[in-house]
Amino acid sequence: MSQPTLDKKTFLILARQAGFNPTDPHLDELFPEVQLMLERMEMLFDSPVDGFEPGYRSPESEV
Amino acid sequence: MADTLLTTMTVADLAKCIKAKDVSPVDVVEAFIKQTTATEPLLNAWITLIPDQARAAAKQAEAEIAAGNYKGPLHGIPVGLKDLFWTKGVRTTSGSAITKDFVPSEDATVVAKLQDAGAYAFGKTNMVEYAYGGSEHNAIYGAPKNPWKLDHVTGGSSSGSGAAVAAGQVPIALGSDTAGSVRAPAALCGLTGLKPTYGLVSRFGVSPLSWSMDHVGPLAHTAEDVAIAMNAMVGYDAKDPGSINHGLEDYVEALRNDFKGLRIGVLQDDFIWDVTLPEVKTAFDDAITLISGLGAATEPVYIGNLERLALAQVTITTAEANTYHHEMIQRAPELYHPVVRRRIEAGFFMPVAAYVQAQRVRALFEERYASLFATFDLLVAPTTPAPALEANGQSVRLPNGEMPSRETVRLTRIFNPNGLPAITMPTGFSKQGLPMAAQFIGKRFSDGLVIGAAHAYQQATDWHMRRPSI
Repeated sequence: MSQPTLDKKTFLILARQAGFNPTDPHLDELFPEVQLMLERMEMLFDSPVDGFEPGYRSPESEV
Repeated sequence: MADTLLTTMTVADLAKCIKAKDVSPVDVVEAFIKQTTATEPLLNAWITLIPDQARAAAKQAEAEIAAGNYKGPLHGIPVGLKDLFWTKGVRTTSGSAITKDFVPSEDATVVAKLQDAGAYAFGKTNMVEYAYGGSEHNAIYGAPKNPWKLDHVTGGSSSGSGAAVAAGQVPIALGSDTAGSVRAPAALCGLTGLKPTYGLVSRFGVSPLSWSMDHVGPLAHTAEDVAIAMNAMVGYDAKDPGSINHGLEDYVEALRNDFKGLRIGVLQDDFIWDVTLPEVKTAFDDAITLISGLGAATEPVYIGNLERLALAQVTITTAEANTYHHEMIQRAPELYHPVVRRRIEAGFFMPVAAYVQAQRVRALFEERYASLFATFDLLVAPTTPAPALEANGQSVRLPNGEMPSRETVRLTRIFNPNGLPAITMPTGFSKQGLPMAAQFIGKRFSDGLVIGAAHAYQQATDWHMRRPSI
């Protein structure tokens, strides 16, 4: 499973939902940061984690 | 005793002098105040200095010792505290404009424990804003300078703690480590720094970055000093939900360990070596040769898939930092440093599935590390791929391209998601005269073994004894 890359129009819709003012010029700086984050995260969805659940350890266990 | 000698001494040596009454805690504090006064205009290592309180604490320690109530090797020792440790009555900014006037009504548990052992706060050290970054992003307080070369960075986020100890402003300091924020500044400033096992040292009263990966640890000149500090810092704390009641170990006693019989896996992954500069590799290889000669059985080993583990660490941090800052960043986004602001705000756009997937990768590496530690007592890797970069440099040139400066913590962040203890120690100096370092990593709760290995290495080398000529 992979995440679709984000276009600017969708980004602005999501930004509005998250409480940003879509006309704020700051969003022009944030957009590439978010795009980069999502692109990098695609690798997470390509990880060999079959059989692994998100609870990662018993807190007191030794590795 | 000359002030300049006192400020170059280790905690262990200062303690011997104090115990023998060759010097008093008052002599000690005055020497460190003098050194700080002389060097701070060059270094910018501190956000808040509290010389009057430090003097009062030193005087109290002097009286206690004179009355025969010597508490141990931290008695009368000044400590630098990264400015995210709560200190009762002393502002705790977390390096931010938003919390610049926050004055806690109580001490962080680890601060109180150090005080119980006779140490006292010397001041609050400079840091990357909210500990979010390995470079020196701080809009208000500016970046500390590296005492080895003032136009180079210290590494972060415990940047001021690294600069202050290296420059002899204090003999030891505390930092926090979510991706390498103790180990990177320790490495780039020529120090020894420990990220203990997750849950071993309380995080109560420590401003969080990423709850599930934040670790509190000391930066000092030697592994012996780290052991002394850990003996006071460790202990279950019901006020920290991540605290683990694992019983107490005597870390100073663990210094008796040597390399004989230890099985050490020398990491070979391309993730590490593709970015590591040749002179760092040469120093590392020399260290491995030495360790082998001292009796360790060293063997090359691959962890595998480290890109994914590093990405999981970044993803978990983004999600948890966004959650912690959720309200504050919506209320006053302009008060954040632009880089830190963008990192936190990016979390608003992270798919929920990415956070869950990152936790599954974390679980995958539980099994991988368990498998490695069934074969090896310790792993070893370089701490940073390059020595300290020039200040304001955005990247470092490598044989195969450019690496962004944020990658300073590339080789440290891979040991945070699974809470493994890791210690960095200096392994040499670059042609430019900058420190280079390696880190030992152990299985959870093998902190004594990890510290003991660094101590054994330091018994055979003198890199940790060098001091910058500031």
